Amino acid sequence: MKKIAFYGKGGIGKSTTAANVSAALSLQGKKVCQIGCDPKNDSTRLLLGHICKETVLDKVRTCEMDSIKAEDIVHTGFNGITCVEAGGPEPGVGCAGRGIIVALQLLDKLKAVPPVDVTLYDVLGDVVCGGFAMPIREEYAEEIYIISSGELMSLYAANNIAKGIKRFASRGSVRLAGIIGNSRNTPNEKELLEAFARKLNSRLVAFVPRDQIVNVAENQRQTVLQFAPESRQAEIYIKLAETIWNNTELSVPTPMEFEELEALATEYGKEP
Amino acid sequence: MKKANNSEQKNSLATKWLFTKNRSCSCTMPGVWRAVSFCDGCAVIFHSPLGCAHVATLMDLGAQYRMIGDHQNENLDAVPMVSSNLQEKDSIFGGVEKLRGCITHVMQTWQPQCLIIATSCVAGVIGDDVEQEAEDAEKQYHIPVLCVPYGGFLGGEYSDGYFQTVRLIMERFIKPQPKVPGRVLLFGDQMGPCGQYAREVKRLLRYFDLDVKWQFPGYVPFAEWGELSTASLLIPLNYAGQTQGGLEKTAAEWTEWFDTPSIRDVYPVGWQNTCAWLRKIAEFVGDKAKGETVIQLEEKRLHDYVESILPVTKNKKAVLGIGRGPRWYNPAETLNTMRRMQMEIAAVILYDKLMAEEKETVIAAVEEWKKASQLTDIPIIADGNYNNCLEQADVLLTTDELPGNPVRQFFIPMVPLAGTDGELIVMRTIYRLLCRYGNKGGIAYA
Ligand SMILES: Nc1ncnc2c1ncn2[C@@H]1O[C@H](COP(=O)(O)OP(=O)(O)OP(=O)(O)O)[C@@H](O)[C@H]1O
Ligand SMILES: [Mg+2]
Repeated sequence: MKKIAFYGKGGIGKSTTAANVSAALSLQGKKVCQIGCDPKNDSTRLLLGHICKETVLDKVRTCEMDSIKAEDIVHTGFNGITCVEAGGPEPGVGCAGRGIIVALQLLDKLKAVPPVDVTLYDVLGDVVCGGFAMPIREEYAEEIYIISSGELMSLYAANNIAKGIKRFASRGSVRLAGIIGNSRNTPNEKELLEAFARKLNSRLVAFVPRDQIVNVAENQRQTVLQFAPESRQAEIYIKLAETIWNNTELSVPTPMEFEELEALATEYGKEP
Repeated sequence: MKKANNSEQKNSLATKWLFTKNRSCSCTMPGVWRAVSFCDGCAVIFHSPLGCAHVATLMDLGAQYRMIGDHQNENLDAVPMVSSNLQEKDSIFGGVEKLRGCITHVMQTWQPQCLIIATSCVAGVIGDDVEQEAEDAEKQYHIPVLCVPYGGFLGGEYSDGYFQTVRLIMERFIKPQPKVPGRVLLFGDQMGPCGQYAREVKRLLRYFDLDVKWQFPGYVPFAEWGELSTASLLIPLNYAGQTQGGLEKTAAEWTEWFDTPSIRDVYPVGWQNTCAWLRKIAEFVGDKAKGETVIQLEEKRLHDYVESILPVTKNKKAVLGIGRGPRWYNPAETLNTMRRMQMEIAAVILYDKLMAEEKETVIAAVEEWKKASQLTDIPIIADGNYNNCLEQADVLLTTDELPGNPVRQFFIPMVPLAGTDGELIVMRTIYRLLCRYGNKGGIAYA
């Protein structure tokens, strides 16, 4: 079983890309489970066709721990994809990080996730505390993909995530599996991302263009694969899914100093 | 080989008090609790997991055992202390609702006139807005709600919790007002009003027609907080060896804010200090001659007692063992007592648990005493090689028990014994220890 996770700056496109990749893998005949690790619980929206109303932590909040059953928290989405949302507290109260820890442990304890070929964790953007490092730290996921655009702050977040991966790689099997470019149409974006990936001792596994079809599909609560399976964008997600499935090039990342990163962005980021 | 092992065992300490580090080794919440535990009309809420309340009650139990050990009949009833019972769920979703529920419960069950809320590490980490809750509760129930939001271990030490509570009470409930002559306010805890310290201070003050009306903070009913500043004299209960200063600082503030004189920087622990303290009291009442009379009377008690025990104590080989840092223990008083009993001070030994800089300070204090007392020959053993010296000693006065060692041991109390009575108790205990038959070891506590 492949255990992968998507990390990346907030709003960069993790959930969208994850849902599309899950859909593609599923259409390729794989059994897939996508687990949203974000109190916004919007990761699986495009797969379920609605925002998930029964998250793991909703149950934890309203029921006795011991009375929670797997079927309460595990849902089935597009093409039979298993969908789970960890959930979390209202904004501004409690501790969402602790929530992720409890949710993942509960899933384990209940053996809630049926046997699948791929589990994909979609984790809240900026890894703000130990709780959001859980999927890497406790090896829930082993192959980590970082999603980034060519924007400096997105690269900055990606570099920081690489630092986290490096720390945990030294004591376990977690590895950086690649950078997924999600375009924001910045100058020389693809080249910059390729160079960035090389610096991190990794590679750019895909460069996903920015395309309105993504937003149109999203407005229909669908992935591109469901909404426009023949589109160019769908093809890109299908290729990415194949790459991920076959990927064996895993590495321990070599994160950069900020100055080095800045210089890189300056070098590539000139007006074309 | 076997012998070496044996001696190792002999020297191992039963470390009952982990007072070696002085940062982040205590929790603020029991400090808050201690500051109002016996203030009728109050109720205390720990916004915490249940375990925190358990720890605080265990501390109380320990204090109560010590009181019983002191043959005191402590009939104080503690005020309600309730934990909001934070659980895993609350750490994720926030605990303010639990707190709200807890406040409601406490209000309905006990109808307190004042509520004090202390916060735990869990509440601190997840960032519960406890101060807002306190404000809301205050509006809802029309009673004062004090909040000490230190987050358990995170925001400070036991003493921070204690003194912050004191400060909140001072700021909110106490105003300067005319004084009642002869009315005294004791300030601090030292085992409370039934403890030896408070009892002895009260006894000594009676010589001067000074009447202790309250012991603040922990033992004054809420309804009387407003009257506290009618006291015409504030007497902090402290110990000269203590440098932590929280009490002294707060006492100084009391004096400044409420215009109440206080007796600071000297405390009646050890005979010399007791004399100095009595002179200060005499000065306060404006009758220095009275002070000297009292000192003579008290000194006579000491003298008569020493006379009666000298046949046993004189020339006995006594060793002083120190493993308590200078922050908590000042060797001079014990050395004075040994000298008064005319024992031969065979050595001063320093246990290994002292840190290097603590050792230095302790050695300096002992050296200073030696010079002042013209007993410069007393060896100080700081390298752990004190077995021989203990084998030859009649008694060891020690801050730490040496459980495997056959030497007779007198455990130097953690809570200092005050005044003439304190001195008498210490001497009596050592005397009785020396009277034990044969060369049986064992430990005696004052
Ligand atoms: N390739 C793309 N082309 C066009 N729009 C995109 C693309 N990728 C993502 N988006 C849009 O960007 C927005 C943010 O995406 P998404 O919610 O997936 O980000 P995220 O990284 O999961 O954010 P968060 O950190 O908040 O979870 C969405 O509205 C999505 O439709
Ligand atoms: Mg997302």
